[in-house]
Amino acid sequence: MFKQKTACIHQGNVIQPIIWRNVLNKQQNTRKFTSAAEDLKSENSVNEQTHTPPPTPPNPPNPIPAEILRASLPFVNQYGWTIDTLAQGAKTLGYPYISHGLFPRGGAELIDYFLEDCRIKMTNEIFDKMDGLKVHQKIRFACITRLNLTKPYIKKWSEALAIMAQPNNIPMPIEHLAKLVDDMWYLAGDKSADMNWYSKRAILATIYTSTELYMTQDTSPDYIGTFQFLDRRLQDSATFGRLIGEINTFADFAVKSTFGILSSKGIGRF
Amino acid sequence: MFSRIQFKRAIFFRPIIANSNHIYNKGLRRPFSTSLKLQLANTTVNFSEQQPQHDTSQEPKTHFGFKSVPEGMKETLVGQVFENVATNYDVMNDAMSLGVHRLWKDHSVRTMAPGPGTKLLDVAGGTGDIAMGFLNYCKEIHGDTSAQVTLLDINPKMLEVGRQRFAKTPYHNTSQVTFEIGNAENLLSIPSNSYDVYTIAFGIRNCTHIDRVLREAFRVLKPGGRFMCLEFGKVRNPLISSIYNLYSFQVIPIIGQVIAADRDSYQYLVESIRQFPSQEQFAEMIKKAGFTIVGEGWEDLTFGIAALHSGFKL
Repeated sequence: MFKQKTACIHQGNVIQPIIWRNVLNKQQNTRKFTSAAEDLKSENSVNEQTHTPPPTPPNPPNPIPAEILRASLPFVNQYGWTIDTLAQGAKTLGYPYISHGLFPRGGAELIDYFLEDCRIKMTNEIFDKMDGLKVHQKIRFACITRLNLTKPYIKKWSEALAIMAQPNNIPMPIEHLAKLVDDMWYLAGDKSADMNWYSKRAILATIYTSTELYMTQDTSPDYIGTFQFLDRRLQDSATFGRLIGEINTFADFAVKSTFGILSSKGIGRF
Repeated sequence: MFSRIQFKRAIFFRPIIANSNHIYNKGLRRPFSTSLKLQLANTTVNFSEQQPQHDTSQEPKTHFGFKSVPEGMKETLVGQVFENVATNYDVMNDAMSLGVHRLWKDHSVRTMAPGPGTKLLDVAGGTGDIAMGFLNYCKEIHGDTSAQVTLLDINPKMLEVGRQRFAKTPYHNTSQVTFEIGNAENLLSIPSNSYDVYTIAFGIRNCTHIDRVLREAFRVLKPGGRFMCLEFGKVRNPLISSIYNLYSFQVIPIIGQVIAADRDSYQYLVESIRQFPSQEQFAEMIKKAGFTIVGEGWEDLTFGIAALHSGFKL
């Protein structure tokens, strides 16, 4: 899952792949042009053109499947996460109904695309707005930004959850969730390199999914209830994190003293 | 030490090779041969090969089953095979595949998932399995009666079987079905960019120039249109492959003998399956014709005995 992810070290700071890849892309795009005006133009056009790639890549490479997926999203609220939606998207671009065959997994592929698209949008949006916030504020900001991206489709999101829970689709949402929380923690400035790395991500994944689940049933105006729910869960996790720390210290002490007792009895030399 | 492959060869391949040599030993009259037409064709092939002044001998060769024949000859020979089997075609398909071919065809129509008003060109449609499944799908899923299908086959006898079959359904004499005799390599009567889907089920194997068929398919499809080809493939699992070889070379010709009283045509059938390129090669050919494939470009059905290939005109 994380095979392609290799961090690079720049001026003594570890820079996560998602960031430096974007930065590199931008640099390469701007380097091609000479005048400043063209630079600005190209940046705008690049921003418009950057499609999230389709989950099943076409061979030879072709931008049309990504365009169809993007054109399909507005139809989700009407048709759900189905091949009908994809077909409608294809129709708006002038392709026949059966072009939905470009996406062999049907609705699951649209969800796959949507999750990837949202993650990239979220990182781009919060990337440069994190300065001066505390870690838990950064995490909260990232979660809210990401939840806002799901907002337009929230009425059909339970359908998407059902599709993602189908046995053959299960690995897909898990991978997306792992990438999402990884990006959130990285952007929040997490540099842990021990067991905390896992527990932090696991806890955030739980919080994020439960909040999303709450949001599907939320009827409060402007989803205030959801954000309050999110705050309560983050509060819980702070308490929980302290608890875990205490348990860790205790376990460490217990193990050490057990080995101490054993070696004093002459069993095992450590 | 006997390696696994040697063991496999000793068990499964030697009798097959020996058997096929025996069948293609022209001096021997096969006890089961009954299709005189095909035998006649065989002898004419030999004749043309032996006589250098004959035109066809200068032509490039192509395969007809395990035999090599002049390119111009293949069409006639295949025509004869299908003339022989036309009346028993559906019964034989059921008997040979134990009914599984129905699942394959059903699966292809479901994968295609046509919408209202889709126009389908079913090449080598013959008895109309795909066309019928397609129309039924449109009717049952979308309640749609505007979907259209053109059944195209090179063989009038096969097309006649299809026509008789459609005569018993509500689609008879509607604008939803049209029948046409034509060669898949040269679809002169069909304008470019006119169809949404092009299907060819178990037919492309019998064409002399597969690349020409693919090029014509690319031409007649609309932008965004889908080329679908259901065809026999290669089984990768060695164990299943050996069972499959045994079944197709030892059992299928006998079924053909018993049910259709025609061993040679079914001998040709199993041989032509072995001659057809593997899934990877065929996907490469589809790409070469200009199609865009998605993912690996095909889906194996029943361990790869058949494969459903797809290409998109983008």
